[in-house]
Amino acid sequence: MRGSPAILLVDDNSNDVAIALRALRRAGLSANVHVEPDGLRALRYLGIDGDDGVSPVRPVPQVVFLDLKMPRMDGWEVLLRIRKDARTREVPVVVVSTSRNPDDVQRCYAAGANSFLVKRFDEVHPGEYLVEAARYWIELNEMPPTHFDEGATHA
Amino acid sequence: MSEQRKPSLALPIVIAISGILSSFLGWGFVLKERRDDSARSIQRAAISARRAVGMHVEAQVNSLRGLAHLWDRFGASPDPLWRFDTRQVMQQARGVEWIAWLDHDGVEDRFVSASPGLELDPTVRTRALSLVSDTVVDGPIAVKEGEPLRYWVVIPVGQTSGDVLVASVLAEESLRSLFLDYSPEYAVTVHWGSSRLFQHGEPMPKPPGWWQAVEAIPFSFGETWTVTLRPSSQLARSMQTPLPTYLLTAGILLSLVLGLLVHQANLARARERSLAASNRALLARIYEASAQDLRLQALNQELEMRVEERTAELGAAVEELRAFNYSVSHDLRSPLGAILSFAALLKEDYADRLDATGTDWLTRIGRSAESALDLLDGFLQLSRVSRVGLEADTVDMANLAQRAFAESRESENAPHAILRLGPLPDVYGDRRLLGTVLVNLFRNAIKYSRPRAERIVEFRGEISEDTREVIYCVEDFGVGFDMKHERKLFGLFERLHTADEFEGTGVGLAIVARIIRRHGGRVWADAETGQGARFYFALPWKGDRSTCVDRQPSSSSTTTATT
Repeated sequence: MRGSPAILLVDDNSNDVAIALRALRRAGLSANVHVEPDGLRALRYLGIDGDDGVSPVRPVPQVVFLDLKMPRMDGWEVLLRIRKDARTREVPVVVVSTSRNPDDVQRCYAAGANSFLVKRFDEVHPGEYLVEAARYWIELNEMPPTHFDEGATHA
Repeated sequence: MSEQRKPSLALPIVIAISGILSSFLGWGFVLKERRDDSARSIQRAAISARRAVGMHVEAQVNSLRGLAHLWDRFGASPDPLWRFDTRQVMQQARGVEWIAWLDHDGVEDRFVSASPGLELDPTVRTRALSLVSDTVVDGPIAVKEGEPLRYWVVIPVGQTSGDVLVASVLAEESLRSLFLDYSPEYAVTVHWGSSRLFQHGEPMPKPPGWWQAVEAIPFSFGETWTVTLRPSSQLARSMQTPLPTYLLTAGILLSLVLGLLVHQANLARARERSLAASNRALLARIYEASAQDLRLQALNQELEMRVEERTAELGAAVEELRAFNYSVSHDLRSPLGAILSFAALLKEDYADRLDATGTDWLTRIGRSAESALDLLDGFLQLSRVSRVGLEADTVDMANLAQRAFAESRESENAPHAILRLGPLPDVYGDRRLLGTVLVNLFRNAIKYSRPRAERIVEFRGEISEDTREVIYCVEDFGVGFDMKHERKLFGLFERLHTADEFEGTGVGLAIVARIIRRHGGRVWADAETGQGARFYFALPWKGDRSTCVDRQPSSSSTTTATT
């Protein structure tokens, strides 16, 4: 996709990141994965962070896997900021959390999440569920044409 | 309360006594007035009686004198004429019995009597002629014992002739004419010395001294009579009215009543005073009570404030707990998950470098982490169940059961488990929480049926109208349990089987019990080792049969797994 990473993975837990990357690598998807360890850095990567007054043109990923509980800025706020920015308004965001708290689920869907996954700890093929989700959003999901227009103008 | 003393009796007594004394004084005054009045009037009456008697007798004597003078002037006129004159005088001067002209030498006495057949008594001459030469009234004379008294009027006829006129007068008859029309109030008696010449009316037997009058009647001819007036019995009776006594009695009574009234007034005033005092005391007490009330109100407000404070603290604590739960669910799950995952990764990626023991140990690491995660999940679920509010509605139990069973079958990894539904009345409750109940019971039923070839779970319910509840039963045909452990079943972290026999956390039934109790229901179980188990839960039945349909599965009483 014009040099854009297919997946942006935002998670501060290096264990989970390692498991996810291992599973994606096995599925042949690891080349297109970019990892950010917290919300602020994720926003900066997306070019939404306005701290330096400059919005560097950044690629828009095909799907964002977003952890909820992170230091400095949690996933929910990151989600709100993503949905506010015209460029990233339509990017699919999959919230991945250890919490199955209904309030959290409700809050995230209200903020514009496309999906909510509870982190699974499987005895066999750990992290495989992320691969399935990534495949769905990258290979099966159809995005509206405006999404690419927005992305293209800044590319 | 010092004003409770009795009112003094002095004033009422003084008033009563002075009233009684005044009554007596008044009474005495009235009596005296009346006595004086009576005395005066009887005195006046006596005087007029004296005058009347005096004048009458004087006139009588005068007319007889006139006759004597006539006789002296004209001498013995022809008989009929003389006799006529004499009779005239006789009639005028009342009570005259007879008149005699006594010749000085006794030759020619003349005699005229009022009643025929009366003769001149010879003793008259002797007696009359012995009298002095001037007019004399002689008497009283009683001719015989018991006869009426008379008096003789003796008058010389001329200065020189020596003839004498003698008239005998019946005293009673003479005076009666005077008192014919006299007031009956007085009794009049006329005495000559001790002889009673006349009596009019009936005198009162023994009148008091002030109530009689005695008047002397001095005559020109030298004699003195007395006239005595006493009240008649009639007057005495009329005079002796009990009026003064009545007045006295009334006065005494009035005084007593007045004294009594004053006493009563005093009593009333004293009562009023003591009432006012007790009112003041009562008011004081009311003030005190209201002050206490105010203090109580202040205390209540303080308590309410404290309650609010505590509630706020509690809310804060609950919020903290929620944050803690969230934190635990995140922070504890992640490392456990990591242990589990990396154990799995080791087994997958480095299986060729591990011997059997190493693989077994990795499996144990993974399983331990997994059970810790299960426990954590159960714990979080339990705390959530206690925390969330009940959203009660009518719940279609059959439908809920189908969905819960599908979830349970998947969780327990037993796709061929079978649910048989019996009659299932609807119930009023929280759909989500009741779903959790069913999932936990179904999972248990499926889990403990594992040794059986077919895992069959039955679910049915019925309305108990006696206890007004709907009783549901989840039955399995698995390993069952010993009933002596029944009481431990629903406790938190209580397990009847080892983790090696059946995995589990000991939280599921605690969750069930907590949800059912929050609905106001009850749970119990019934089982036999090796013969399966029946778990019952009863929920309050709100409706009646007409609004509570027994739902039968539409096709058959059994539903099998759908994939």
